[in-house]
Formats: sequence, structure tokens, C-alpha cells
Amino acid sequence: MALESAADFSSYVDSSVGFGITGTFFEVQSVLWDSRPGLIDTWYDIDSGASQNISLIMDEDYFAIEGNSIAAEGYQPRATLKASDAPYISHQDKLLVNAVTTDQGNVIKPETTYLVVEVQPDNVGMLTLVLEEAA
Amino acid sequence: MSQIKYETESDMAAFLDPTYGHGLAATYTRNGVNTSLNLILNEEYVELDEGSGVEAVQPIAYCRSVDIPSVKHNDTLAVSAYKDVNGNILKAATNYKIVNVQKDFKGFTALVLEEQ
Repeated sequence: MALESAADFSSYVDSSVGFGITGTFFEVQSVLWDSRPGLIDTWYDIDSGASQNISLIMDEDYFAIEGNSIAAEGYQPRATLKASDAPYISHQDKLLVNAVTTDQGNVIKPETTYLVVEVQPDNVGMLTLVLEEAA
Repeated sequence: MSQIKYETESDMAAFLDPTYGHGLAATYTRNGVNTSLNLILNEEYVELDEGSGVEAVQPIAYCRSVDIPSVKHNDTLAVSAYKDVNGNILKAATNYKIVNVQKDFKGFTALVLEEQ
């Protein structure tokens, strides 16, 4: 069942006319073992240490982190990208998202580095990554 | 660096236009420095202390992020009176304190306000 072409997927995250922005994805684990205890990358999944420039859509929804008295302000960053741009992605891989500006050059969001903490493939061409801002 | 293509700063300004749109003129104050800007003010009804039904409203202002790049809690907003097309005042000019900042990182920021 062919629904979309590779060009269709690219257009969804297009940074020249659409909602996409640009970034660099890093396969940061150069060893067989994941940093998570007891987990191992599969044969096809061994991180290469390579990096790739990609386009993605960033969402950072506000949410309140409830405390004992008052809620703290929090954001949950999520990136949507083409699955073909990150075929061997795993937890703790790194995503550098370039600064986002308006047409006048004012910065809406400065350049930010994130760690991948959750990978949600839709298995039909796109990936959603739950991210954590790197310290 | 990525430049957003779906809206320009002028587009964002148009959303908040007080002359033809839903916007209101306001003065934002941070560290004693005043800045004029436009915003949309929503004041939804909320029920405080659910059950006993204390009536309240929760004012939230929507602004362009470029107008308030360093916004913090306790900065203030003086919002002009809200009038109908005949000039009748529907809501008097009001001063607010900012108690919560919610950026969307796409150009707009929602400010949760507390009436002073």
C-alpha cells in the first residue's frame, strides 16, 4: 500500500517553505552497549558515531510540573522527523537543533542540544522523538 | 539557523492588531523599563475551590515573543480599556502582574496574569 513518496516525507519537514527547521543528528554511542543497564543495540542498530544534517518539526508544549505547593513551569520537547534520516536511532543519541528566528532575524529559540529519551516510530515513515534538553 | 517561513513578524503583529482585530494596546514593564505592545487578553471563567463554587476569572495575555524576549514572573502589564466600536467601555484599563510564562517557541507567549 503505497501512500507517500520519499519526497512527500521530505515536504512535511521542509525548512524552506514549511514548518520544518534544521538540525544535526548525532549517533553518539560508538560502542555496542547502550548506556542503559541490560540493554544492547541489535546487529543492525550499532551506533556509528556518525552525524547527519536533517530537517525536523519541533514542538515544545508547556506543562505544569505539580509540586507540593505551586507548579513549576516545564516544557516537553518533541521532534518529528523522517524515519529514513535516523535509521539506527537509540536512547541518548544527540540532536542539535539550530536557532529559530523570525523573518526579521529575532531569535525565537536559541540553538539547543537535546538527548533522545524516547523513540516513537509510526512505522509508516515518520519518527517522533521525546527529548531532554542537554545540560 | 532556521528562519520560520509560515509567519512573518508582520503576520504576528496583525493577529494582535487593536485597530481592526482582537488586540488591545498595553504597556509591559520590566525592571522599570516600559515597552508598548499589543496583545490579546482572554479572561475565562474558572471555579475556584471546586464544589463550593467561588467565581473567578483567569486572565491570560497572548503576546509576540519578540516583544517580550526576557519576560519573567512579576513583570507587569498595564492593559488599556476594552471598548466596543462605539467607544463604550466593556472592561476598564487594568494592571496585571505576570505569574506564569508559557512560550510556544513558534512566535507567541501566553502570560498568566494576576490582577493588581
